[in-house]
Amino acid sequence: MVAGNPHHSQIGRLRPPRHRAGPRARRWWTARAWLAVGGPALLVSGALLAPSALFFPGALFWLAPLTAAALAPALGYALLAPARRCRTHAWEVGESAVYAASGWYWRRRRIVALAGVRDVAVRRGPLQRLYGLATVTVTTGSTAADLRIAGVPEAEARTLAERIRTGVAA
Amino acid sequence: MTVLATADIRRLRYAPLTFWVWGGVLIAAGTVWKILKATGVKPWRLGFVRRLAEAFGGDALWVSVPLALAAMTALGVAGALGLHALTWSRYRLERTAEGGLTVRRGLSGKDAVSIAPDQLCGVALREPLLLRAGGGASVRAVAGGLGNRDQNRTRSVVLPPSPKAEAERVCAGVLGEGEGVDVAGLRGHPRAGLRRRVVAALGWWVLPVVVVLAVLGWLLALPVLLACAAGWALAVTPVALILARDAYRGLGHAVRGRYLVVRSGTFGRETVTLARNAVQAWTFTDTPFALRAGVVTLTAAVPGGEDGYRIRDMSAAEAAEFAEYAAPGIVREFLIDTDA
Repeated sequence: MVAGNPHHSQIGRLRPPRHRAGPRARRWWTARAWLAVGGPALLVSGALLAPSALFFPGALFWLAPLTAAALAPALGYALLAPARRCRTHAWEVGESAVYAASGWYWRRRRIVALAGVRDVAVRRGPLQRLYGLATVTVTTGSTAADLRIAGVPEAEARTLAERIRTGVAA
Repeated sequence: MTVLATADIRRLRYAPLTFWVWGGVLIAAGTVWKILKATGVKPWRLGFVRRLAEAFGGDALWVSVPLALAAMTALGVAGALGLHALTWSRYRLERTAEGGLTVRRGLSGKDAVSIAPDQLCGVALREPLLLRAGGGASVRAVAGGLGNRDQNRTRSVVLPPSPKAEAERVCAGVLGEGEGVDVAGLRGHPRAGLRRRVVAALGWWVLPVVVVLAVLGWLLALPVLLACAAGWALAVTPVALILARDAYRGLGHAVRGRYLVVRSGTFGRETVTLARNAVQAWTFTDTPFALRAGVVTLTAAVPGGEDGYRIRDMSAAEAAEFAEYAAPGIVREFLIDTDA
């Protein structure tokens, strides 16, 4: 069995993809989680609790538990999800198929036959560009066979896309 | 050119076996309400509507409520029969010499859907809950090139609700397999699948309602809500357990000749037969809970129909090898070589 990564050793003889997500990808996921979920949740809670504490302290006894109940999952996501994503995230181009693993709660390992690949593209979002990362998207004739490999260092993304293209041509 | 099925008035008896009998009436009522609202008519100002509402709310609720339900059912059944007659009159399903399909239907008999042989990647035998209870089934072709997902769902229907035996015969005919692909005796799924279905059924249907009612009853000091919570738990738990068990027993998968057979669902039981060489990708999906239970959902990607067909909660230990066996060459190079 594969050493050191219990999250990959469970599906029969399927091994994890070779290339793992790097520390830059982890920083990007962390930034994204705080920007999109953790930060806004904290802001809204602050905006609710601070005026309440200053002007309506009587309301705190019910407002504080409600806010905490809403804040807990958001903070939990921002704290735990990036690390979990980083553990799962990996990719590999083989002789006849491309293999990618992703997800934080639902873990998805997808293996796509190169013969069915129609299009390969490299995309970079504004936040990804800050971290020097890119997303490789693979389009096929079936939406259940399409692939998005996010958080790949830019130079590596270009070679990855090129390798998929040559694999398709071969 | 072989004719696989033609219009048959006796199929009408399967038309009302769907929850849309009630859903359709609700949708129609909603549409009427919207039209009235848009035209500025206020229904409660009309005398007969008010008299009807007063009569309904009168002292004989135990008569008026069942009567209203019966009227709604009758209206829905009439609607279902009418819609079936409109859609499936002059129906004719043909298989061309090359292996493609042509479905003709509609009042004019000129609405036609053609499926080219290279776009056909399988066939799905569909048995929604009520239709299954009535011993019926309908058939959809798993095919690409029929438009977007919604268009595909309407255009790919090759047989309307019919007796199950006929549906099985049409499935075999669509695939061009004389005696049909055997979908009996599929490999069942691990026991953990039953536990997961029971937990999901209780967790989604019983627990939330009971918790909300109980908390409200406690906060508002209304014992009647506590009684409602207990009543809901007692009434719904057995139904949830029966459905969970049915869902688990429905799970199955197998390789039969050139085909991969997958069965799942309880409200929408579906037995899908896919050409093994149409599979383009495999996806293994799990959650921390599935991981602990030792199960994984394996999705076969084909270029047609719903695109992805899931083998839910199969044994994680067997999944990779099954994928390699069912559609060789895709996962092979990512398997750990234990023979060496």
